[in-house]
Amino acid sequence: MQVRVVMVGVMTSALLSGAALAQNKDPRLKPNRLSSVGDSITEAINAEEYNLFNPINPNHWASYANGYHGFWEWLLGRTDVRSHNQRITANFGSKSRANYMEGVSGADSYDLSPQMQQSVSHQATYVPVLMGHNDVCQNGFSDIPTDAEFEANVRAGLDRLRAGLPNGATVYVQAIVDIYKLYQLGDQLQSLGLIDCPTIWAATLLNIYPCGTMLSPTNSEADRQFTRGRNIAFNNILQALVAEYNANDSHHYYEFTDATFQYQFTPSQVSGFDCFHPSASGQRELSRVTWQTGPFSSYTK
Amino acid sequence: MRGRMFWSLLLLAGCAEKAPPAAPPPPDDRVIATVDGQPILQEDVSPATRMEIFRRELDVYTLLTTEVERMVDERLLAAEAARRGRDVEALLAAEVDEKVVPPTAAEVDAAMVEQGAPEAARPRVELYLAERARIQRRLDFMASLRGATKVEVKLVAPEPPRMPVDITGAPSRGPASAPVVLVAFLDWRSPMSAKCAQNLARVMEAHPGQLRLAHRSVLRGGDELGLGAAILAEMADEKGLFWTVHDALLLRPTAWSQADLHDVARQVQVEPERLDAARQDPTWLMRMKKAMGRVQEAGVTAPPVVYVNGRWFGGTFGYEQLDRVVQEELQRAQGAQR
Repeated sequence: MQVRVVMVGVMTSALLSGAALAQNKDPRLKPNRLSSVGDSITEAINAEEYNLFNPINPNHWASYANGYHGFWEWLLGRTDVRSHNQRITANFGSKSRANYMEGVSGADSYDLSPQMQQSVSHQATYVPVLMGHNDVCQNGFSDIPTDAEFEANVRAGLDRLRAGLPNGATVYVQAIVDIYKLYQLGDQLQSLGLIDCPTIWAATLLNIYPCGTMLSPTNSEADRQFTRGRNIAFNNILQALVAEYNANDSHHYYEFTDATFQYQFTPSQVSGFDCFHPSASGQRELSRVTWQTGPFSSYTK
Repeated sequence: MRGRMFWSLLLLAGCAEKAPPAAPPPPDDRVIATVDGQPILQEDVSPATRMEIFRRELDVYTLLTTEVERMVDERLLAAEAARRGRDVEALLAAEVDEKVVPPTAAEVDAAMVEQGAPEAARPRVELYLAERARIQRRLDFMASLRGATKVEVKLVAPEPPRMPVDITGAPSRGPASAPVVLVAFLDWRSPMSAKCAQNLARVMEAHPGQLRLAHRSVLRGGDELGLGAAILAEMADEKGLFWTVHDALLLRPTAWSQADLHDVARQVQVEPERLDAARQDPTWLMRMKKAMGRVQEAGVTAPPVVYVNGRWFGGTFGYEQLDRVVQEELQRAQGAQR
């Protein structure tokens, strides 16, 4: 409770001073140079196609951030996810466009700093960030970072952006998706007799990268809810830091949305290949809700 | 029920535009359109569309199920708080926060050993134990409230559609008159499809003469060997030898290689060179594309999937579940005969 009061206090003062600072910020740049920071969700793992030889199969065309729909996607009948990348071209034109994906499957908050350094190297004007799932999703509970560790990692990354992004660039941090809801969906698909998700988790996810803190069959309900509690705590940290940086950096814009956490994924929005990652339809919804609550929501093409 | 109401409204809207002179007979709720008076029924839509409709119904059911759980908890807490003359926050503080005992140093030590955690991870383990105890206490409290209250959830999960899966031209084994038809959508290289094929072989043995098994190949992007196997299977089928290929590749205990594929090709009198050339041959590629079209028509996106008399069965489930569905369908068929 005390922590919550302090955090609300910090956020309120940050937002107030941020509102004043917004008057003095550098003009916002167009988001033409996109550089996404994230993990397997940004890479759209197993969203629409599964590769036997690489079970962590990136489906970049279906990424909520960097997705595209060109000739091959049209020919093969892939889903058009209307990604941030596509929306930027539609709204701001194709001149001077760049579309970088710094996100890598398995990345966690410790990778924020190097990935954000890449965004700086690419002179990005728009950096959507969707990171932290692998902080929550670990082999064991003692592997989940503490609040202090997570906060330090996020600060290290944001400091790099503050120091290196072009003036007027926008950093858009999105809350960690509610992993518990994804677990519940898998559980429900099994109980309805449609897909045996625990078997798929055992055969795919658990052997390849860790999410034992949510998916392990030995977890109790209290264990899973503990993991969800960490998910929420990390989102609170992200929100507070975004407000703080936005208030104290006159050269860049920092925004946060919790729409990703609040979003209620449904069975058709979860990958049929691994019962866990968002499907192409789920990525399309991620793109929609994050764009509509994001810094460029008034651009509706 | 919602679906019926929707279609009824749709028809009523159509009626309102043309305003017939006399009240029409009540519309059959399965009719979704008519052409010169000839009805198009809801069940006439393509299998892929029916599957998509089912998925949407499932989405709605899932959303409502999650919401119901949250609302039931909310109401139970509000009622209990009112009964005790305090607010919900105070109730939870008294029943959860104040009743949780922090973990002892010995408990933390034991958990660290159990989790193999280094000393640096001690704060994480302490946090885990303390939080988990609080959450467990809350779960127990909620369970006690539920135990003392009559909670009745009336939501009913949608039934997967029973779909007419076209098996024209598909290789099959078992009598054509079998009361139960299984259509297996398998890819040739995944261990899960192989496991499913093994379960299917076992269930065929368990119900001799009563089942017919048909096969549809599913291809995956970049899987050249899987493409080769699918082509070889079709070549073999032309000679009546499909099941030789099927059993050699899907019922084997281990993964197979290009050399294994060539061995199987020789067994069914197909020259390996001809098979390799077919993978680049536009005629064969178009046949494969057509085969994938049939997979999409059946609404299959992630194999293995088995349709049992048109009922969807996730092929990742084990033998017992498969056998149960088969037995249900056999009983249903016997009931229909009486």
